[in-house]
Amino acid sequence: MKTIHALAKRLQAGEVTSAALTEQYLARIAELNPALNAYLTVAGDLAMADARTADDRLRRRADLTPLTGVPIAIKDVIVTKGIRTTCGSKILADYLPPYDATVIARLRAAGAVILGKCNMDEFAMGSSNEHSAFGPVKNPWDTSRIPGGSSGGPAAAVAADCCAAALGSDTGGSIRQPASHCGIVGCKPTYGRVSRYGLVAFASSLDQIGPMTKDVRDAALLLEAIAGFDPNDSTALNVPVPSYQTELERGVRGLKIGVPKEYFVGGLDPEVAACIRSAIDTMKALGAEVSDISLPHTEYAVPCYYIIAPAEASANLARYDGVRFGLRAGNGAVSLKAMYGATRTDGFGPEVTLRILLGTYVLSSGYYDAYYRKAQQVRTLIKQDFLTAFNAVDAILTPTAPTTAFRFGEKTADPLQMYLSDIYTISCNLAGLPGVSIPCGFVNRLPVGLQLIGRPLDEATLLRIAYAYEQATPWHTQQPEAGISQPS
Amino acid sequence: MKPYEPVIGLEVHAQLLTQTKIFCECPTAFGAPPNNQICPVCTGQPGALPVLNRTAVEYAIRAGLALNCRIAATSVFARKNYFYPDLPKGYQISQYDRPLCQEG
Repeated sequence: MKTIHALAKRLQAGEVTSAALTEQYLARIAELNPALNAYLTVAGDLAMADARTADDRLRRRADLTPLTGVPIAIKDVIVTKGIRTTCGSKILADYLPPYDATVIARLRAAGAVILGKCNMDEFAMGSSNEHSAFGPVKNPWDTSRIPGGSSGGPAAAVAADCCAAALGSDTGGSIRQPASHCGIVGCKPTYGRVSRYGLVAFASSLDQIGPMTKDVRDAALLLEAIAGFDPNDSTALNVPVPSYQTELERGVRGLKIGVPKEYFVGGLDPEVAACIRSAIDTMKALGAEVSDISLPHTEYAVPCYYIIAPAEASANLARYDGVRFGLRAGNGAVSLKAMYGATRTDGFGPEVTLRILLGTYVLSSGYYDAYYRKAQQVRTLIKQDFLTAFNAVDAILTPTAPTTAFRFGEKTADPLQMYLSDIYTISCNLAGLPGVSIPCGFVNRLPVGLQLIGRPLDEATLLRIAYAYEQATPWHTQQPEAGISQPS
Repeated sequence: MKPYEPVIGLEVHAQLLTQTKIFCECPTAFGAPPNNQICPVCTGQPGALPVLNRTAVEYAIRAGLALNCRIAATSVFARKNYFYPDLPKGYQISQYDRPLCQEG
């Protein structure tokens, strides 16, 4: 498998050059992307230039990291200097950022090669990728099905080996749910663990950037590369970043894992539930102590999220007004107001429009206390549920999503049905906690994901449990048949 | 006719003599060529985030002390949302229910 750590070994042993590897990946993208639509922009020339710089560094053996020369994909919500960043939206279809996000600067400093930018639901709003302005991504396991969202492009690119690994973003499950549907590892770090500078804001109090990878070791090393304090993000926590890789092999013996009863109710596919139950047995066999716990406010998480996230989005998306950058429609409009109206009507898709309207409503004078303030109070209760649970357990184990990947069009008619796709992942964002999704089986040849939720800043324990499980199971080694030919 | 009680509020604007802008590192020097004292933050580029200028807070507290205000131990910035061409982000970063200085 073309993991970061496997490729790093070959690059550093001189068995392959970054230029050759990057060429192979670009060829594979050219071959598979017409079917998958995982990439919106392939930065071929820039990637080859990155690769040659990395090869020089590898030859000089200067300041090597596990990422030096390794080709990585980036969700198109993270800004890249000189590479188009669309956020999956018509309103930014031609936007060229004048700066690199902090995570991009860190990847570049580590010597990574940036292959291009991956498709996503518009402004990260969606669970199926059907809300991209550039057409949906197809699931590499079954191209009649959604890859999950909003990081469907990066998830499909990793699963189909169109990159070594990718960076996604997660506001309510947007890394973990597509990771689950595409059979890869996805990690949403603690709020504040990774800088959001250069992550185009959807809901600022919920958004986090995180790794999407082929195995747990890659998630650990990629997180290590991007995490840590950043003076450009006032919510980035100034705390040391542990060496996640060295923590991995400590095993799970004696660790306490809680299973919340509220996550095993109606709506959970029985075959998915069976995979999770079987994973729980594996955890026990590995020496973990598993117990039932309760998170009593779980049922309020989705409604609470759909007040807070749209409220923040309505303000965050105000800057797309046609004045300075992005799309301007209504040239010849008779007034400023008409230009704003034409630009935003033409530039935003229906789901983004819906959420801006919802968010503007719940923040409006007279409704703020009834909706936004109340939702913030509920959010505190949800967080307290978790902190209480963590007095008794070290981590919480749940399904990542209630079903496997559904078919295109299955849930587009009813937004509420779509929103329930994130029922198990949303609480983690509301509480600011880290969460990891790892493959834990298949139902009808479609991947199932298992989620681990941890204490604030305790990604290390999650990755350690995930690694122990991964080493004991074969799921992560399976690849979709869309993987027609493997790069070297 | 019932007598009215006059209640008068004053909105006073002052440009603080800080070296840099309130939410980014751009200098505030007068007379530089156009578009030389701008950055992703103050032009409201997607993904940019504000970082509060410490000196601006210190000056605000000094003003508050001079006016006999109560200085808040915890203070919150709020977004004031409206559309206008000179407003790059579509909102002002302002203060609303928990300002730095009150009751002067």
